[in-house]
Amino acid sequence: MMLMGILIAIAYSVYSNYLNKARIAIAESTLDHARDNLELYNIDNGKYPESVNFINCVDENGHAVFTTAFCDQMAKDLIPESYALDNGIYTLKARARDTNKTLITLTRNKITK
Amino acid sequence: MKLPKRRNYFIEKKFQAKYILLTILLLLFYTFIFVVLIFAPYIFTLYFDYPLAEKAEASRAMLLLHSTIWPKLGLIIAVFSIASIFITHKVAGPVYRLKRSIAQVAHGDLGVVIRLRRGDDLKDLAEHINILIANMRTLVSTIKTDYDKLSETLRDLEQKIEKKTIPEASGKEMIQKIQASRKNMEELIKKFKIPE
Repeated sequence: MMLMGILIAIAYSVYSNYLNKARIAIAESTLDHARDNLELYNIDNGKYPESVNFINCVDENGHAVFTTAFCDQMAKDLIPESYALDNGIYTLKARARDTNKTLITLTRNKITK
Repeated sequence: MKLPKRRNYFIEKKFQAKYILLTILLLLFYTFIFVVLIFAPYIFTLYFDYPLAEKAEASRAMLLLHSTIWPKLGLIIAVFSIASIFITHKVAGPVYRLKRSIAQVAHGDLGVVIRLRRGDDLKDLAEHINILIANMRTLVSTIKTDYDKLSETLRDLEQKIEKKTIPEASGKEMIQKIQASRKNMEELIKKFKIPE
């Protein structure tokens, strides 16, 4: 019975580790799509947004940065933390929905955690 | 005679608990294998170096499965655990009755006839035990008959010795009666293998 308990504990630990990995992978993928959206915004407006309101996904002028559907998707997949634009280089920080709330940073060229 | 339906489904607690536990352990083992097989493709995608889009797709499928599969598996385990009470009861009920009947026989009651309910298991065993009890009944009743005959002959012999009137013919007749009883007992004893 004790052995069974130990095996279940190990299996649960491995399983929850993969669930966390899955949540982080989803958050990374969503941020990857966010990058595409920001690039489209850049093509349309000639610049990146100065700021992003994550509640309705609009910029400082009230223009949509992300589509409503993607905005809802973002709210499901991650917890947006901050968006900053510095000398034309944007940094979007968000936390994955895993147990550690892993911080993921999106820049134009890379996604880091 | 039709026996009333059993109301207590947890009749042989230790016996049933053992097999219910075994059923649950088997179910958990099957669940483990099932879950490993179901989740393995997604876990492989996450573990190895697949493109981010594929990893995300696998992750979404894995999380969806995670949110739906556990309540269903839990329900299946609960249903089968409850079912195992009824299944073990089909054996535990007869085992309980057999135990009680054998205890009655051990206490000297040879009038016991084991009757099981329709659908109960171990009916074959119960029939064999009934034959055994019937044999014991015949054995003891034969011994009792011979005991009665021997007692009567002995009483007769005592009276005749007291009166000092034992004609030879009467003496021989008594010896024949005693020998007949002895022979009966001998034949009965021969039916059994008694270890030295």
